[in-house]
Amino acid sequence: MILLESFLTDNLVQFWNFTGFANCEWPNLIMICVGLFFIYLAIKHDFEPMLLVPIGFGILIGNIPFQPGNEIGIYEEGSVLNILYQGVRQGWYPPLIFLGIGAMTDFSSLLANPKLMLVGAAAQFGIFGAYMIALWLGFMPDQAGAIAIIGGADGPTAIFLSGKLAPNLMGAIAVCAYSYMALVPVIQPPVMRLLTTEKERKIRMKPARKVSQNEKILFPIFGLILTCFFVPSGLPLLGMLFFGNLLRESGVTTRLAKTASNAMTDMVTIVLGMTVGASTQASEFLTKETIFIFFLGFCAFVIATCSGVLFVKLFNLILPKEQKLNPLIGNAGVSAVPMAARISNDQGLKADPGNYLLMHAMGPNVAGVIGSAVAAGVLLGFLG
Amino acid sequence: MNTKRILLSVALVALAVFTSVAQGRKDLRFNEVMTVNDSSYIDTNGHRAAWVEIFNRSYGTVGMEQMFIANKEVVKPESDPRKPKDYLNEYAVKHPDVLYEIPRGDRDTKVAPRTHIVFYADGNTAAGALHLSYALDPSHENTLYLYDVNGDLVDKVTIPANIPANQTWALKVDGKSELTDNQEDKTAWSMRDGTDKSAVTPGKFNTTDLNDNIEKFHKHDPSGIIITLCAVAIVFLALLLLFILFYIFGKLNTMGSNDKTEAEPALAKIADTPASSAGADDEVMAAICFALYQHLNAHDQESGVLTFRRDNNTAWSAKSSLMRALPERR
Repeated sequence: MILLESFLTDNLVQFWNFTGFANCEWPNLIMICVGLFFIYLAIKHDFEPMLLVPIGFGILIGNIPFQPGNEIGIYEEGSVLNILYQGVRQGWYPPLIFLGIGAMTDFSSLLANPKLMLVGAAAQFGIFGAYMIALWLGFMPDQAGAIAIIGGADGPTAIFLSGKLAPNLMGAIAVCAYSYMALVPVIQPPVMRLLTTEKERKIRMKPARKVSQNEKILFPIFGLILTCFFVPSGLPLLGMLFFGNLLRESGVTTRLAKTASNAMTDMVTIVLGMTVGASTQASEFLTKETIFIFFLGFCAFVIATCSGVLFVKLFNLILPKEQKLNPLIGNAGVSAVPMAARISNDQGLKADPGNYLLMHAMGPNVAGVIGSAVAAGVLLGFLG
Repeated sequence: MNTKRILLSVALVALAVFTSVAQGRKDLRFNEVMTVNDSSYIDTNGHRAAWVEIFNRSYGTVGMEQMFIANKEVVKPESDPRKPKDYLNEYAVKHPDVLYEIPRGDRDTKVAPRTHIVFYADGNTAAGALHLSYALDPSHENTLYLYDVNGDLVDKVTIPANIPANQTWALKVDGKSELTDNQEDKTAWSMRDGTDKSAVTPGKFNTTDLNDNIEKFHKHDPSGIIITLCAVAIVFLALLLLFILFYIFGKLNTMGSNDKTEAEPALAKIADTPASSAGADDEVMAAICFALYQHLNAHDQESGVLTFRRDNNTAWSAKSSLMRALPERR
């Protein structure tokens, strides 16, 4: 009887030591609250639910306390989560997402008015402004480059670059990039209103011309050749982006384009979001660097918005009157597609209820995707 | 069509997962070994013993519980039906002088990312989980094997015989060695004699692996202005060339088109197309969906998705016009 009691007690104690309750520390609880907050923002306030739900739940998964050694944690070699996480670590998921983005993006608005490409380039100042601030805060150049790419407002690019330049900061950078992308409707409008006059916000832009099928087919081919000859290091992202777009525009690979833009993108988004969330284990996430990263990410978004809007205002000085651009489309130079373009449209409608800017803003918006991938390639070329 | 898409996607993911397994490398590496220690590293109990340093070259914490460190290759006989892990478990119990199984439940055996763990080869397991169950023989060549929890070989190192006291056999660059057909790369290792240029570094990096580019930028461009100007110029140049090219294409396209309506604003043309007609453009559908989403916040179950189905049926075929609608379960 005593033997049985002792046996039971020993096993219960051993079981207790395996439970999350016994292994729990307060940083785990903080991170679980962060995960719950992300899920709340996504479900209740509709903030980028496709991203914040997987990331939020991933944070819960990554911060359930456990005793290591049973191949269950994301950092334990051979565990299921670890195998899925290799897609982030080795940088497979971001190019696959870019394939989907290429397959679902219509570049017509950009091709109809190609000068909007320069607006997309101007918004990349956000990346390099944040780079300088990060250096000033004491980060090494490679870490500063990885953090600064948050200013491109492009999650896959941020994951790709941070995986190469500063893998130890990747979790914080990815969560920061996606969080701020969700908060674009909160961050950008005040900056846009501050930098524009009422009169500028009411500028009506000329309707876009019709873009021929030939132009749409040539764009991904020449886009790849031109950009990647400059920055071969951006090839994984730019190559897949333009390849996806060719699948879409060629007209003969509709089935592949649909798969790339729907089923495949959805699947990769699920595993990418979940594993990025799970990689934010409290011990590696709750650090002073993370606070700096969130601060720098905010600076990067504000600088990118300012530079986009101010560049359009500057550009207007040399454009003929009938070709003037509405500065409200400048914010869309960050590549948060299509959220940033929607914000341009909303702000335009607030100033003038008949002024629909959406299609005009999509030009710099998709140019921003190319611009941020090129910027990532440049940083990788310099610092990799 | 859906089945084909799903099969294609599953095939892609399976390919990615299999590739990961094929490319998978265990991230722990033997990093530095001292066989005779009489005035060097002291363990937590105040004793000096031979030691074996292992480096976690990954960016995640690795738990070493239930892994094995052996001083002789332990191969499961083919006739033994057990899993390699079970065989090694039993072997470690029967032959502690050969194989040491790292016990569970000791936090010291967790190795933080890019850090080192030091085991003492003193045969005194009672002193803690970091003490191997055997000692090294400095007068002979010693070969150490690291097995993972499944019994798979992770790393191997052969330490030469008669290494002088307080000197080590160490990797030239931390964690930089690979097994090829279970054979170690001996060129990755060298002797460290304890001098300033070749210091003995238990628990620390053997060498600081510097990235020349980063050091160069850190030294010559501390504020980041040079890299910023260069990078912005490159981004602008790339997109400027694209702009020029497609500006020319656009002009050629407009000039070459015989159909004048082609050059007219696309939106005006689209606006003339009745949205309800069977041939209406997708753009019109998208615009209607967007307007509904913006003003009525109408969407499907998922926010941001609004399905717009074309109804090409006539009154003869349209299900909505049929007399007998299917009953709806509520």
